Amino acid sequence: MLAREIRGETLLLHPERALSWPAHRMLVVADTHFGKSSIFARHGIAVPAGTDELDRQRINALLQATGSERLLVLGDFLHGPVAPDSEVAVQLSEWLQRLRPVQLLLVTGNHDRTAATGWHSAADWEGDYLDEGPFRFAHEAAGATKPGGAYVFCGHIHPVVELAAFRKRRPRIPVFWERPESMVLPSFGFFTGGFRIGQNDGGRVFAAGPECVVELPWGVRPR
Amino acid sequence: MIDEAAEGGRLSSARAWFASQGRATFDFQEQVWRAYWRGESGLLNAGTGTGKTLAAWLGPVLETDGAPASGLKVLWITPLRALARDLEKALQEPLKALGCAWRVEQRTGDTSSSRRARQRAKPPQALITTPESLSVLLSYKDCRTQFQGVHTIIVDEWHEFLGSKRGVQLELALARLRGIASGHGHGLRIWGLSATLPDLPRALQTLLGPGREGRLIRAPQPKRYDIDAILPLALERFPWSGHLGLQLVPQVIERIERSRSTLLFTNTRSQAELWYRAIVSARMDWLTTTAIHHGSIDAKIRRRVEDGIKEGSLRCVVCTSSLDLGVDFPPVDQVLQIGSPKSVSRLLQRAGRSGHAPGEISRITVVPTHAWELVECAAARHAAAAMDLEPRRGLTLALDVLAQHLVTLATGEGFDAEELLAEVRGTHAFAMLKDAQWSWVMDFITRGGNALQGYPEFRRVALKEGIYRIAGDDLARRHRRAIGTITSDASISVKYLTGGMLGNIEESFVSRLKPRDVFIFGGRVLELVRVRDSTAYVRLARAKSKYVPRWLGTRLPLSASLGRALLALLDRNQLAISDDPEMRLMAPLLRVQAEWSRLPDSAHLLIEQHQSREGLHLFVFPFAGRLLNEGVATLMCARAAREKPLTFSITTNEYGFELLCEQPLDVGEPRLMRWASPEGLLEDLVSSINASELARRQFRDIARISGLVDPGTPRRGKTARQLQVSSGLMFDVLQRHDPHNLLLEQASREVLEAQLAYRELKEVLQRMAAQRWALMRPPRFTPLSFPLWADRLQTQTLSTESWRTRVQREALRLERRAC
Repeated sequence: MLAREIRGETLLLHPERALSWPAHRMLVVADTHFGKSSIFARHGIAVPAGTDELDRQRINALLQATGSERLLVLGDFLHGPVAPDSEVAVQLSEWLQRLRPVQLLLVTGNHDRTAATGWHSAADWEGDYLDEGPFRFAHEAAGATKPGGAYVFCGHIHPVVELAAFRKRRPRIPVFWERPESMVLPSFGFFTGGFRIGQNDGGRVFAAGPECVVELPWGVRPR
Repeated sequence: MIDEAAEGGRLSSARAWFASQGRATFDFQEQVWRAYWRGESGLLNAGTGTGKTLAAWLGPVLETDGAPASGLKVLWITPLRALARDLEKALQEPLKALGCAWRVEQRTGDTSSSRRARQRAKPPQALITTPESLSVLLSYKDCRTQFQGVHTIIVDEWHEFLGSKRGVQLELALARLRGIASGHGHGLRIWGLSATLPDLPRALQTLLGPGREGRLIRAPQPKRYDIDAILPLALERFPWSGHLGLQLVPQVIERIERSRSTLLFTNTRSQAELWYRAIVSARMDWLTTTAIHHGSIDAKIRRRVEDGIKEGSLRCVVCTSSLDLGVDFPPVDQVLQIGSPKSVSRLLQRAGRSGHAPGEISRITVVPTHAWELVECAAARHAAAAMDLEPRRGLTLALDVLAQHLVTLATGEGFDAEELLAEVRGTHAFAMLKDAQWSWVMDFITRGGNALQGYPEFRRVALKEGIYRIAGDDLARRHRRAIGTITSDASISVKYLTGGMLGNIEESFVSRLKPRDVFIFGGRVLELVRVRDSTAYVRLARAKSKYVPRWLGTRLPLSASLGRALLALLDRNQLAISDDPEMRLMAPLLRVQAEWSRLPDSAHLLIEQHQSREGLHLFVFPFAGRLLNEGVATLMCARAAREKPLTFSITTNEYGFELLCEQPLDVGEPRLMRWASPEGLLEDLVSSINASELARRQFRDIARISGLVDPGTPRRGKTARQLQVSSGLMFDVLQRHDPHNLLLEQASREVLEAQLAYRELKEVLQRMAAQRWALMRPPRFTPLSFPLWADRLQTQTLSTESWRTRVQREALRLERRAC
């Protein structure tokens, strides 16, 4: 993991695509997209089950490793509507039960809004953002950042960087994308894609994983 | 069956019609008609412009004996929808004179929905279509009614389908149509038309399915080919790829000026864009008579260009394989090929675009983009004279295509599993289908695969009263849309702000652009304004372009036949029995190569070892084409790394590859031979595939065809957006959570067969093992190794400009040494 000082606070970037704020005993992840593979199955696309479970185990492990008391999901907790009696809802409820005493905090993402017709978790929804210390936690940076305002942590974009050094393979690596007023977290869900950002987009990028977080010097891409 | 008198009557009407056109029937045409009237199926081997269309068409036409008909009778399958329109005209032409009241129409992805509806209500007697559109037709509930009267199918350009998944899709559709025909008490005659292939009987068997009888008829092939090259005035002895081509623009322009109408073929769409710009910037006065034609350009514009060629109003058309096939362009009197011909048969096919009348000579001129392509050109000439062409084999056991076909039939009238299995096994592609594979595919489409018991919500195909049917109308719609998208990638349409469609670019290219970025497309310099709803809005730009779109089309490697021909030519050259003008021009380059190292030949495997500041360069030259060279290189690296942890960087070209190792390394012949041994190839390849990303890349098509990845829709609704996923991600998820998925296995198998070309790779390694190894230690880069070095540098350095300078400097240095 890698430590960043932002607005006088120490934050840790984890290769598992999560961020922790030790002083506040908080673990932050973005874009879990629970229930995504089941929605695919419902539409006739044969994705195997098990991606949700894997993501829950990854969160469990992170909570334990960081000793966090709170878990904050920066929106897109759900991928789409989930029926209350569906397996996805049942498994999520069970997991939330077992999570205690860790407190779950959710800010609303665009996918959560489309999911609002279905099952709703018992967790604490914070609305569009959560303010704490010098920070604001939101789903999207747009609208949340303002000059001189709080530093924003958000998700939504699923930033990835393509490594051109490998020529044809061009592996895509999820990144933390740090800018003067905000930091975008990589998407946490295993079954989520990415949006490629490039040098022209500015800021600094920290590649998440597989084993550690490293800053990527811009300029690795010839373009 | 037919009696002699009726046959004679039909033959004389055919001869009379030919005579009225000022022509005479050919023997092979009459052979095809007779065989057809006797109820036979078969394959006609004839080149373009030989009269093969009429050979196939007049059989069914004359058989009507003037009787009126209703309903669909003949399907004409063509590989390119661009050909459909001209075919329609060509097929209509003889009808009236021969007293046949048939209607001929086309049904392709371009056909409007109103026209489609009309066709369903009042079907024509002959329908020209593509395999994709045929599958779509099979996905309608009333397809049996539509197809019950079909008694004949003509597959045009069958060689184009062989070896591709479209070919497999077509085999399955043919089996279904045969089933429908026999269900209505009549047979189905299938005739393929094919250019020359080395193994025609096998091509015939693949078309008809194993065990079925068919007639093979060959048209005489008196057509002569003339293959030459534009010879640069001076030849650099240290060639590097890519830069030479545009230097030849003046000579190319001179050639274009000298003739009436020129087709200028390039190997990639990007190259076509560059050459078009180069020509019209040099000759502004040709702006209206020069055009560009490739697969991404809008169909309407392409059609205008094709009409322009036919009318003779265009002086030059820069094109890609989009104009390889089909219809006649009589005014074309010159064909130029930019860069390597890559394969003998393709070069001949392109040459065939000129001198299109029977008996005329077909000419093609290669414009080399670097010196060695001159040797390729001469080699292709020898291979063409010897008719040493590339073989093509049909694919087998493409489970993704089978899954798609089953869903297609379920969307249509539904199917009975047992009956269908027998039908599917009647095709060449699935003759060896195992029970386990069949049940896996059935599980895949009904339950989502073995591992999916966890998803009771999965729905796609369901069993109702013994018949498998699609589980919902939304699924049916999505499936129909997916059928047509096998071959294309997620693409973005390019439109003017003011309206007016230009064509399609791959999404991956557009996503790298920002508004106000300038790029070349369709021969125009455009500025991106915005991207919205899968459309890139552009306007004409004044600024100079920075980018040329890159399309992810398949890059054809140098074929084995051409590689062999190349070495054979070098053999002849060494014996001083070659009188090719290209080789005379190459003499200084070959001399340097011989002095500093040695010339490759078929008896020796040339290896050059050279130590520089960068490390140890190992250049190996099997002359096996880019793909196989890469296979050999990957294999050698994997084996080397197993003995000792070493990191290599690999660079390949058509002739050989470079392994660069930064660590100190002592390689002797025994070690190298061990690394390149054909023994244990399969195991080592499989383990190196897992390490590499090849299978993941190969999965792209499989995921799309089998329905694992939803094709993008023009307007993406909320649901469609929720279902967007990349095939790479899908691959990772399957590998982690469903590792026994047969589609993953198929990806590895396809990588083995298609990408790594296991069988061919084994042959290359065996050949290498049988050769004498000539391990040379030249003091510096040679004319053969220099291009590899330059290519690698290009992938490593930051900007094109600094690469160019560095390569030029190095070339100059070597040039001074060589004096």
